Amino acid sequence: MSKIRSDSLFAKLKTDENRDLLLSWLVEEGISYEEAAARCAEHFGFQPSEAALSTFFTRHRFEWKLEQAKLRADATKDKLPADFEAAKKRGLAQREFEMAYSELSVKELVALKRIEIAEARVALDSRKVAMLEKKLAEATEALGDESKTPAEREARMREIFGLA
Amino acid sequence: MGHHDPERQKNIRRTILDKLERAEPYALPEPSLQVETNAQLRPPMAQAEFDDALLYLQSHGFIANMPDDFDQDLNKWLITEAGKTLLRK
Repeated sequence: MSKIRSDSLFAKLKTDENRDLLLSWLVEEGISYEEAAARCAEHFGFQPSEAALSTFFTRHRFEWKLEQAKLRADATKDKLPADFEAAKKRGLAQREFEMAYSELSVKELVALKRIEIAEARVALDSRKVAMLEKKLAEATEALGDESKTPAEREARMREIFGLA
Repeated sequence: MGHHDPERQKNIRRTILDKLERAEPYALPEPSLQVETNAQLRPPMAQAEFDDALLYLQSHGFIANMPDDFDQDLNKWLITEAGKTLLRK
């Protein structure tokens, strides 16, 4: 991919987490560029212009469209018989890519992105629950460990829950 | 900033190459390429600027036209290896 301009909003946001956060405001909450600019000032310490936000969002919209269109085209290619002529296979996949690309509306893309964000959240929540369950099991074991003094057990509990 | 501003021309060519590289291995139809390139440029391109950029990139071997048996009137563009090298410079 091409070099990212150091003065671009993408570069200024520095991390993927920050970029995802900004996208979630724009996509999930559907806030205006004006509101997003104010939130950026609050969260990231700089206020981007509305033009910069529009460029950022447009770039991502383009990438989502490409991603979806490629998925559909690749699926079409995979469905064709293995002995199908390679050039024809490429031609049909290209056709599917173009149709998918032109059919995808911003509304659909936003809906897809919302699903993606919701799935990422569920995955994150599941990881948190698994971590908590592990800590709980360790804590239960530490509490029942008669070989340790009450002070040692308390120290172990603090260690498990990061309170030490 | 005008039609003959070298920095502007460079920026347009680079943006076109960037869009085509992202679309790989598929080719982008010219109208979509124009819309997406324009969305990233301030001020937006004139038609002549876009046409000049495509002509330059094609004549220097940085992009290639993909033939299409289904629709011969629609230009579709692919980035070449030389185009990818240029993009990284």
